[in-house]
Amino acid sequence: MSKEKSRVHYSMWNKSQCEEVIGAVYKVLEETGCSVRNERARKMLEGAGCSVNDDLVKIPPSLMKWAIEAAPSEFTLYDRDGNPAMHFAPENTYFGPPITTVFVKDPKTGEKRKGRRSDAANAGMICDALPNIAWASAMSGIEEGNSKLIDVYEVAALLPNTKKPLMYWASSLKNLQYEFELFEAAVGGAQRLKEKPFTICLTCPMDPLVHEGNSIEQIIYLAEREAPVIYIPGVSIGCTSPITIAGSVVVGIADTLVGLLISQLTHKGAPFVISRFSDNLDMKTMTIARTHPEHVMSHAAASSVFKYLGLPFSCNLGDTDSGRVDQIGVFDLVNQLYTGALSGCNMTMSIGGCESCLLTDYAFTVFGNEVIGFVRNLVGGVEISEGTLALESIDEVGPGGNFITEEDTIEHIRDFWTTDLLVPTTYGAWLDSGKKDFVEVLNERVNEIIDAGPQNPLSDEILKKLNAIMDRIETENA
Amino acid sequence: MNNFRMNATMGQSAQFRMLNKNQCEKIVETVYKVLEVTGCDVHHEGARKLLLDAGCKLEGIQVKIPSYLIKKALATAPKQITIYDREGNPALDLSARNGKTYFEAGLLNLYRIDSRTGERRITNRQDVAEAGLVIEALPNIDVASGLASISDCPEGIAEVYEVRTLLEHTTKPLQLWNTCKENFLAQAELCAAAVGGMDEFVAKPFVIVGSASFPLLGHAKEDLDKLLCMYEMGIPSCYVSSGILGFSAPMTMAGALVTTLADTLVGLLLSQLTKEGCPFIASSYIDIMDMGSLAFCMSTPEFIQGGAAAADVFRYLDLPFSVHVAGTDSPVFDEQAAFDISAQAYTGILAGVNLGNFIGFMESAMSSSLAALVYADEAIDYIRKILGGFEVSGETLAEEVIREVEPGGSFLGEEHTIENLRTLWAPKNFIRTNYENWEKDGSKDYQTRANEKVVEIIEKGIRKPLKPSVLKEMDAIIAAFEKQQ
Repeated sequence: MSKEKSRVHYSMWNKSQCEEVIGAVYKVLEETGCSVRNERARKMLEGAGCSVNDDLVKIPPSLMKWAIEAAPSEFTLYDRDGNPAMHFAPENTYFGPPITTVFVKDPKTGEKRKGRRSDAANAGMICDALPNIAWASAMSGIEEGNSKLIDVYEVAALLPNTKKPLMYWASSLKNLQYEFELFEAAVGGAQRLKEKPFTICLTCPMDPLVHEGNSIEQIIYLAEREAPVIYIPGVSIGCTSPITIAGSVVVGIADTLVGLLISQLTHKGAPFVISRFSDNLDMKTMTIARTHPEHVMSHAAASSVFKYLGLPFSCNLGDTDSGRVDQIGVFDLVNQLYTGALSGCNMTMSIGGCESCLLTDYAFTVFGNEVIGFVRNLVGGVEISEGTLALESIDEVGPGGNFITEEDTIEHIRDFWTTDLLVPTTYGAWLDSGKKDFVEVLNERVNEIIDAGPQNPLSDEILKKLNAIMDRIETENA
Repeated sequence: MNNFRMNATMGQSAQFRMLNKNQCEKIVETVYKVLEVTGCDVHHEGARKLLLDAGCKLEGIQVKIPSYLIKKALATAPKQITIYDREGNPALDLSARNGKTYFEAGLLNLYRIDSRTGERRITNRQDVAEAGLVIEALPNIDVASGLASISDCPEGIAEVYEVRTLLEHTTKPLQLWNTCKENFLAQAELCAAAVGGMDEFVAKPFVIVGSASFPLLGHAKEDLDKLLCMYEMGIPSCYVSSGILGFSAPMTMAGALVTTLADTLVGLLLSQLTKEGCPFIASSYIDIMDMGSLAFCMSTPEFIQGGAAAADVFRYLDLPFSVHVAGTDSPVFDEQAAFDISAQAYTGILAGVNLGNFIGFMESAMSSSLAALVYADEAIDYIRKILGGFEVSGETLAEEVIREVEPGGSFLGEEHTIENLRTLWAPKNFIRTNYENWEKDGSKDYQTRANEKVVEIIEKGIRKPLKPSVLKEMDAIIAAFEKQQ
């Protein structure tokens, strides 16, 4: 009998359904085609056998199959110190924060306001402190300083405040180059950055079926450096994709795969994360909506296809339409993170995003950290072995007995998930605490982390280097 | 009647399994060994006689059960049980293999968090009435119970009053608890009065009865007394077997599955020895005690993980079953309580548990909240939608409309969009609004809205009243019963 703990078995679509979906994707790319708004990419695509007419590119299935084969099925993202942190491989699940929400909830005053550089630093510390949050980002976007450099500010604020892998974005190729300068300075050079990449760039197509020049330039730049990238279609059912979930999965996958193809044509084997996010509009309020089962199930379905393709992938699960940590926000976090864990998603974001990811609330991230621990434990399965079946111990204890003093009990007492957040409280104890709110407890945790300051600081020498680079960039962009 | 099926392959739902067939086999083999080698204490003479006559070995009160007897009982017990509502319509289709999940409101709570005041207080008959009204109105809460242990009635017969009150306020199937055979018989009389006679009641049972095993590998006299009576009547009975990890069960989940199964399967055997074909519901409730505070903890993944694993074993045995799914350690319906309900309901539906017990519990079962029921009702609906899957076909893959829209276009005005708009889930109490509008509507948080919903349902009163003559008959039954006491 195997002692191995068998993970739960879960799937939304079976193999033949995945085949049908991917078949439809190939057909869309071959017959409808897509608009690629970058000349270098079009030339590469034409050279590889695509038909190109102005910016409309039609892609033969054989070429796309080649790219899927060529792309790595596994790769590792390191932390800033060079330790392996995230191993993108089948069934390895990691969870992380949102990126560029417009607003942030001020951790001290509770006020909803635009993001600042100091918020990016706080976000770094919070991600750094939470064991189940695998990577860091600035979470909220920045609206201060030079508006041309807001993306670079995020990176500059994050580097000294967390050693976790960084998720970042760039508004242009020029800013991407600035960010690389900062990364290289933080770890000691381009070679080290290439050997042990600790950053992952996020870039997007314009759905449906349009690939903008800026995104494609970045994908090519990153592929040349073998730097990880995630290409995120954000499809909205009934608007930028068909209203049926199956149809919206088809459009999303068609879009992300074109990024993959360009990356592999640039540099075969460049690390690439595919994805398909849903940015559904609520037809009544015409705002982006996450508290919808369709949002969640579409990710479960897309995950089946991604797993079938055998490529690292990302999902947009873990945020809510609610503007505060309430029962609805909690419900969303639970059902979405559960689905992410069950789906074997390599990169599930955006934990801490609320108001449909317009607003960052760190309290959600702290709670999300707890939920991840909980669902991972559940999905991890139950060990069935001679030892755990405990036949001997049962016979020894016998009818009416008690296991409390058994050796077996003591041996396994640490097998269990522990929490200091979801603790048993009686009604009386709750009254005694002044009816202390669950949200208050979460906010206290947030402030404890921020007040403690960076736990993994950079050396003064590196900080000086980073500051000098930032000063130069500011001057160049004045 | 809900038609959601987990692990369906036509119009495919999500597929989920915690234990594979070999693991289930291994667990069941171990259970057989425990019953054959270690045996169990049976504190009821009649039950011992049944077991002895069937071929068990007896030493004092200790009974050792050969596995062929359990296998025979598994073969004769119904694989499917239909539970009706008070009006005789089929309501629950219980079968381990059909993937359907039903949720039962919890029972025996000392306190209720009042939906109007937010205060916690001792439960009374009015609380049972309110639980009945609210459960009646919520489509995804399938089985009613009082969520109370009422204090404003003569001592020792709270459960009889509870049934009287529930019968008046809801038509849904009822989960009954009782402290002795006499009280159960009084409850049965009340149920019979509600449907026009005992034969009618037994022919279309609209209750789930049963008992709980206690202690470890032990079966108490009073419990078996009423259980055997239920078996004789042929009313669907659940033998609840619970084990606390490290106390009344081994510390490992696999070991706890073994002991709880060993206990519930003795109930199965007795049911079939009493009356072959008697409808029996198995169970495994694995409880966790916080080793630090020695308090029960329900806000923990193990609380539901055991249930999900047990579901696979019961499917392997093909035996209708019940597990617990909605406990929380929070004393009020706050975010932690919402977390627990969501995580556990999600797991219950994934695992396809036939009966998920204890919806509405607060404070590790000390207390109950009707607002939590309103929440659970909507959460269950939502989760079923996620896991229900969707069609993959030429039409839904939408190749044609994708071709028409072309790169950069919008699907908004397409006929395909309008045709399929209604297939999307629509919320009831989960609002879709922005901050500004929410503020304009009075900044009502979820808890406030859920409590308002509870009060609104209660104020509407009884939806399907019983005839005054039936109420009179029930009151007469209670009066006679009280006198007898």
